[in-house]
Amino acid sequence: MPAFLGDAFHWIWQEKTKIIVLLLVLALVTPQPAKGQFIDWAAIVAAINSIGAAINNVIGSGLQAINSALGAVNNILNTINGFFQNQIYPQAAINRARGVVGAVQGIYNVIRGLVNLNVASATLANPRQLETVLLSRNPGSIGQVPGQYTTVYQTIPAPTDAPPAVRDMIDMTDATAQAGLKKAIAIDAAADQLMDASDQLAAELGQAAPGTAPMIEAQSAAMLVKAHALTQSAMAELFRIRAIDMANTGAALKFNANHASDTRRDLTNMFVK
Amino acid sequence: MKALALLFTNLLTFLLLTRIRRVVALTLVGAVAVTIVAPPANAQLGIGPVIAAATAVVTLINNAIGGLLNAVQGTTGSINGVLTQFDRFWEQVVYPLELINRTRALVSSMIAQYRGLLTALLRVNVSSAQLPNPVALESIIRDRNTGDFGQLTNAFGQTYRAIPQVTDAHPMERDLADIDDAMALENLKTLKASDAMVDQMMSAANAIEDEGVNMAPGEAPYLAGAGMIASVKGQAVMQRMFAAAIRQEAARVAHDNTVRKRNAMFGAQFRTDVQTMFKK
Repeated sequence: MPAFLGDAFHWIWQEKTKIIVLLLVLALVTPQPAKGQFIDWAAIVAAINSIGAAINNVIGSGLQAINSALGAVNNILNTINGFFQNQIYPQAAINRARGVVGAVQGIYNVIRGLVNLNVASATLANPRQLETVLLSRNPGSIGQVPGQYTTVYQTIPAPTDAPPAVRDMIDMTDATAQAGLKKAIAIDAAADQLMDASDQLAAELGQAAPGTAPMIEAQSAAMLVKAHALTQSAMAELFRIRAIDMANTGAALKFNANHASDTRRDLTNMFVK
Repeated sequence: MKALALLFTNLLTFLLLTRIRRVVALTLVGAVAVTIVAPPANAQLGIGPVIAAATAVVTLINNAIGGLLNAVQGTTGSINGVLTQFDRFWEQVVYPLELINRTRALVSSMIAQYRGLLTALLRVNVSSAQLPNPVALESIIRDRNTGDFGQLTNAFGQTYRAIPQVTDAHPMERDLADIDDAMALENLKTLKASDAMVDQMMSAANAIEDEGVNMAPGEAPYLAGAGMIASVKGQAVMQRMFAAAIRQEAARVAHDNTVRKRNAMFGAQFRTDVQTMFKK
């Protein structure tokens, strides 16, 4: 080891010039340590502190206030949401309501069965045929009414068998009766249609959302108005028949008066002769 | 630099003691090296502009961002105010809990007040017949049962008698009697069905009403819709009733008209018979 050190020192001593030059060049080429660019650190720190304070005071407190306000908004929205979900539209209540719709529909299915009960009661051939047509609920069979009606209720008397006034009265009465019977078939068919429509509405209502239920209610209201109109039309038909009946009663009085007048005239003529 | 100069001076002294020529060379190398080294850079910015920039940032924060935050805070406050009013409006004006409970109480009260009464009124006994056959018929036509139409027909026949035999009445009159009976029986059956339907409709109304006791406001459209649909069906049933009434009235005027036709026919027949008689 001392021998190695001795060799090293010897070599350094021999090459000392090169080494010194190398060291000198290295020392010159090596970058000098930079000096600070600023001097007044306190002012810089104060400036940075003022930015920090501004961020803290203005932005921080502003964001805090907004956060607080948004928290209040959130609370109110939660309150409103809770109010609607728990008080106005509780899911359990909505399900119960749908259940009620289904229950009412079930009841009306029973009613529909009652409405469609067979009430045919005629026993003889002609009345049975007429009755079948009348209870058919099929508007397509309205055309069969006149033929079946005439079979049971006979035709208008021939001009030789009844005075024109009587024939007119009979024709008008037949017309009213037949119209009423035709109308009854149409009304039965309309009632079937209304039942179908209301079944459809009930099925839809049973699946409706709380927001769409009033829409179905509105459509139901429209159907109800139509139903009232049809009922009114049926009532009008009934009144027409009664009006003609009343007119017939009046006509009977008129005919009696005419008969009395004719009889008096005939008697007078007889005694004159 | 001081350390470098010191080093350089020491080296120079040392070399002076050794060789002059190398001293000259090294001096030249040192001079060249010193000229190559870049002088220290001067500061680009003074403290004044930095502070001015910081002040500008603070001003920006105070005025622009602060102002915007104030505006946002104001808007959020307004939203909060509107939502508070909205909440109050729904909770106190549109759906006040007190009125919701009052409505539920109303439903309960109406059930207590009217349900039993209306049911009793519907079931008031109005039977008035005295003789056995009419009593039997009356009992059947008012029993609200649709399963005994056969008994109804029998009781009807017992009270109103059977259609005359072929030997006892003209075919036309038998048809007339049969269609009259049929229309009457049809309507009596329809009325029995109607009575049963009334019971069912009352049940439907009760089902809606029962739910009304605990109804939430959001349920109301469902119940109203169910009631509305039931009303449509009720109207359909009413139309069936009207159709039956129309048939009956039409049959009645047709019957009267047939009597007129019969009179005309009888008159014509009588005239023919009288003429025949006088001819003979």
